[in-house]
Amino acid sequence: MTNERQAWRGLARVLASRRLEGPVAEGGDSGGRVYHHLTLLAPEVAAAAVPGQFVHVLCPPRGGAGGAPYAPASATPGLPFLRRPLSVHDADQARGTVGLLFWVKGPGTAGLAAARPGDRLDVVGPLGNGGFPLGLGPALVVGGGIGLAPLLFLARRLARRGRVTVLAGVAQAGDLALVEPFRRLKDLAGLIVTTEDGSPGTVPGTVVAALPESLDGLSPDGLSGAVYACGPGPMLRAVWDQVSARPGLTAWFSVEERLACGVGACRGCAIPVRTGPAGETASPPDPGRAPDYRLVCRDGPVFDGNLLDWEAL
Amino acid sequence: MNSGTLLPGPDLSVTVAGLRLRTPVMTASGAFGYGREYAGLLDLSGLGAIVVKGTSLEPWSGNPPPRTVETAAGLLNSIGLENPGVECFLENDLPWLSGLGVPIIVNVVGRTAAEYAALARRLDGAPGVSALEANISCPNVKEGGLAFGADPAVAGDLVTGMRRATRLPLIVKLTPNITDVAALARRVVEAGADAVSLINTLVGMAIDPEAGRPILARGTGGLSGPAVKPVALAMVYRVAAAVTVPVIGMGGIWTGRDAVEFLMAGASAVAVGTALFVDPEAPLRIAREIGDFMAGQGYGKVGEMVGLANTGFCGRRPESWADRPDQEGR
Ligand SMILES: Cc1cc2nc3c(=O)[nH]c(=O)nc-3n(C[C@H](O)[C@H](O)[C@H](O)COP(=O)(O)OP(=O)(O)OC[C@H]3O[C@@H](n4cnc5c(N)ncnc54)[C@H](O)[C@@H]3O)c2cc1C
Ligand SMILES: Cc1cc2nc3c(=O)[nH]c(=O)nc-3n(C[C@H](O)[C@H](O)[C@H](O)COP(=O)(O)O)c2cc1C
Ligand code: FES
Repeated sequence: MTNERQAWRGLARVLASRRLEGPVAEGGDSGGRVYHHLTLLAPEVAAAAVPGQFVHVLCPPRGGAGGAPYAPASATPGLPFLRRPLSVHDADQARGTVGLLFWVKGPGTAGLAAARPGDRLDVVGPLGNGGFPLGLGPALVVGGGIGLAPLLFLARRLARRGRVTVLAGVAQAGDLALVEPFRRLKDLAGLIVTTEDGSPGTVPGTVVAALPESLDGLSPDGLSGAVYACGPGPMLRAVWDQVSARPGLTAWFSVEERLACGVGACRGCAIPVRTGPAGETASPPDPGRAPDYRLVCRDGPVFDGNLLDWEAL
Repeated sequence: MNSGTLLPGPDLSVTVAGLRLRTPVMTASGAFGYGREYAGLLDLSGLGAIVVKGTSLEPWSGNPPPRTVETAAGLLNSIGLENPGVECFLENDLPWLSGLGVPIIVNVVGRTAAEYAALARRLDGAPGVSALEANISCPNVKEGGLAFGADPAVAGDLVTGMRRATRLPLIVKLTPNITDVAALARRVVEAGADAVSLINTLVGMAIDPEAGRPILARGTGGLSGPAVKPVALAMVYRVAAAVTVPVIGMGGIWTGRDAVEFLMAGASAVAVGTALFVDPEAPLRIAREIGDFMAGQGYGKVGEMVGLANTGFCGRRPESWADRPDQEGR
């Protein structure tokens, strides 16, 4: 299970930094969430990264140039302290660029969002296991909210190989900017967008509600193909409930846990899995046995749905 | 062994508990895994020593998540000593580690004093193991760890048992979660410790105000990082004035100057933990910065700085071994 691939660590130049604008005017209902996109020049990362992997970014302290708009009114000094994991949103090997898409949540992402073109960011990556396994059969990519971040790179790679449908859900009109890059993807078999506020041109509701139809359409019998999902915990669980009820489908999930080292050294990012001592899936797990864990940073962040211990997650 | 210590400039080599360290900067247990995790991110052969993750007789699965929380200039962890067990270490990690030409120190943990002694016996004579560090100070496990390290008498008995079981240099890692760390240090040295290391993490907590409960699954965790440095430094100072064996200092070391503070408080070597998470090259950078500081201030050898700021320092200053580079380190 040792990750023998080597990650790169260095300073990546910021080529572009932009706040995502949804179709709703400034001041519209964006649910208070601000999203940001960075383009970094990091040829080593761009060349090595596969969909599902992440980079570990040292975030500049807030208060830097342009930091004000995102800085919370009162803030604890000494934060951000650790690096922040962000998925590879997109990678362009020819240009040597890596795109990051993130929700401006707290001090780390606020500092990142303040980065300006020409700034240099200390980056380690790509990290994580081999990412989402790319099959040849029909694929359904399911993302909720900022969980869409790692899925653009995935959908792009999958579309080169076969039939890919994307099911993308966001809460409200203000979040639709997260979906925009998927609209520009060529060769998608389909793009279904859901919004909980029923924005025009979208399917009202959640991806979970829209999933049965998408699964039916995945293959003629609705029983073969691969599902790839990233999003909030309850969404992933609901996706797994539906997928696991259809034998023949495989499903891969990108999950999150708080990271410290990001390289498998500190054992800080454990998530519960269902395995026997030799690593084989033992389902249901023996309740008397000590829990088994895998490391999100080293063994994930992408896991086979069969491996995850959904009761304990 | 081609040695950076032969280059002109300050001599960073030190001998600590019989171990020949190329620089006084080692990795702290638990922050560096078994070393291989960082391969490619730094040149491991430039480290003073590698201290591996706390290792037990059988595999331990560790605590439920979440296991870490970032705090102001610090990190709370509640890993619970997840590790694959000593046999896995001996088979999979030690052969690779021992090829690096750097002393390998095995941090050991057990549920009982007998387990600590059994680990000492198992590792005694294992080719490539340079020393043991008894972790009797982990705040994140119910049994073992701090349960032994908070009571000098219990800690002393545990160390006596280990001492009988091994000829390897024995380092005992002390907890800061105690009133009189000097008394504890004296007791473990009487019982046969060749060196003491400190500090392990300080018990701490973070609460999620929205959820209305502690963030870490176990409630409390151990605090590390720059936030603990002043506390660690004061404890190293006290212990270096209480025992004559070498002290290995750690707790929040980030820069060469931080490390020099620990040396001047009386540490013969230092260890770097949390800084690795932010800067994987931290131990090498810190060693370089110590060298720069020495060059700037006119120090020729690390030993000249050890205990300098400590009026009660009662240890021996570590010797350099660069004068005899032909002899391999242990
Ligand atoms: C492998 C991986 C990939 C990720 N990819 C993306 C992405 O592409 N886009 C994106 O917006 N977010 C992503 N996240 C979540 C992102 O790391 C957090 O939103 C971010 O760290 C928040 O930092 P902050 O200081 O802004 O917020 P705070 O909430 O103040 O952060 C406090 C601490 O909690 C940690 N933390 C907070 N939220 C999360 C979370 N959801 N997962 C893990 N740690 C968290 C932070 O790293 C930090 O240590 C990813 C997480 C992981 C584990
Ligand atoms: C994630 C993590 C895991 C740790 N695991 C161990 C361990 O297994 N054994 C041990 O003796 N100390 C362990 N420690 C304590 C460190 O070795 C060190 O004593 C402490 O973190 C202070 O140093 P620092 O501030 O440089 O990290 C751990 C610390 C951290 C942060
Ligand atoms: S974050 Fe350290 S092991 Fe995953």
